Amino acid sequence: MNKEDLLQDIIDTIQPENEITFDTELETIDEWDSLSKISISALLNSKYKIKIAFSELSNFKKVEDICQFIEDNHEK
Amino acid sequence: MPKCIFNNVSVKGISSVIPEKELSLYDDKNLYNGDEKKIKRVVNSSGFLNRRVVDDNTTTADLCEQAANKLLNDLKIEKSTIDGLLFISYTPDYLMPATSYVLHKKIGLSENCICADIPQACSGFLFGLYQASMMINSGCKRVLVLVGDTFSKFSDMFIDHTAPVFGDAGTATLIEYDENAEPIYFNINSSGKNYDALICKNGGFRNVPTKDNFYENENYKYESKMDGGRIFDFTMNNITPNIKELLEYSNKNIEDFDYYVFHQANKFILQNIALQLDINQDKMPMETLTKYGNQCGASIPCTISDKLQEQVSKDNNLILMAGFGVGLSWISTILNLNKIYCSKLETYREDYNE
Repeated sequence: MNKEDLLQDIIDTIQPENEITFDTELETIDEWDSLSKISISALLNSKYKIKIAFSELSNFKKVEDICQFIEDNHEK
Repeated sequence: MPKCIFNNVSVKGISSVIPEKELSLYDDKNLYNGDEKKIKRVVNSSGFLNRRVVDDNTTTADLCEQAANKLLNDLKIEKSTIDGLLFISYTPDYLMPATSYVLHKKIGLSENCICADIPQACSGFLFGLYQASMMINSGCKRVLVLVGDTFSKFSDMFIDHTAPVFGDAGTATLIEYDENAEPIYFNINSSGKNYDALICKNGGFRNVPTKDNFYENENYKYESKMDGGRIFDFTMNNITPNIKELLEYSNKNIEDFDYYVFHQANKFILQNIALQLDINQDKMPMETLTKYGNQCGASIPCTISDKLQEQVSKDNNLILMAGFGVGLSWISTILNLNKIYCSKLETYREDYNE
């Protein structure tokens, strides 16, 4: 799984106005609200077959943490 | 017991009514201060765009009354033959009496009739079918199931008040005793521990209305709260298992159905259920929520009127349905709609009921 593709999926899902990278802190993204969290949870569920509770998404600090989580849990 | 089967119960007709006034998320100046880019993001991800709302003087009962009158007139049903009337809604006319009695008078039904209100929202249509099926199996011949809500009268509830998404609607469905009817299957679940995930706390007798909790700038306000994250997790974890149990119970496979009509909650939930169950999305209408909003209990009959009117009027369709929401409550149902009467989505007219 290509990390750049994962980043693009996250960008397409959150649709941020400003540029985001692996290193971006989620809390600094204007669009990281409940709508984005639900969209990310839906993305993980539908595209990567990974179940994650809405509340667990608050544990992620950086964009990279989401990518890492997908890599760690995909197809297990 | 949550799973059950009913014989001799048949849906004869469905009629759906929506208010004329249309609001778009783009017209909402309170939403992100009207920032189009931000609103576009909500529209793209949630599927919500337009919704219909009633004016201050119109209630759910008014919408349902028109739907019932149209249904009975078009089907040429003698009103004295209706021996059951159910009104399923969280937006009744009064705290007392039950709105079903008000509608019993307005529609002009006979005294040989059982009236009951059932407070249910997004599972409301299926809960109504279940209750009507029990009434048919205990001797009623014709039950009128009126399902609707006007959640536009509550404060905005979508995911931490992000956007107003509820659309108003009223529907009427006629259920009859029919010896030749194909069986109807239900699987019903409840989770009282999540009762506060979607709640309007003030205005009942636990928290009586006061100037502080019920008024804002001289206008009444039914303050409602929805824990969007918790409800999303709940639907992701519970709807699919409930449907799988029903398939097993009814000895059917997911590909056996002509259509899949689910409560139009939002796009994420519908698409995820479709993916989890491997449902052909061409047979699963999802546009109703974009055109008319989340219509609570009325969303299933409105979706049938909006998207499947021709199909259910002409052919026998085996349909899988699911409703889920306030309670929390979740129900799946398998039934046939076999050449029934089905109205298109009618617009509410104040003079229709006079």
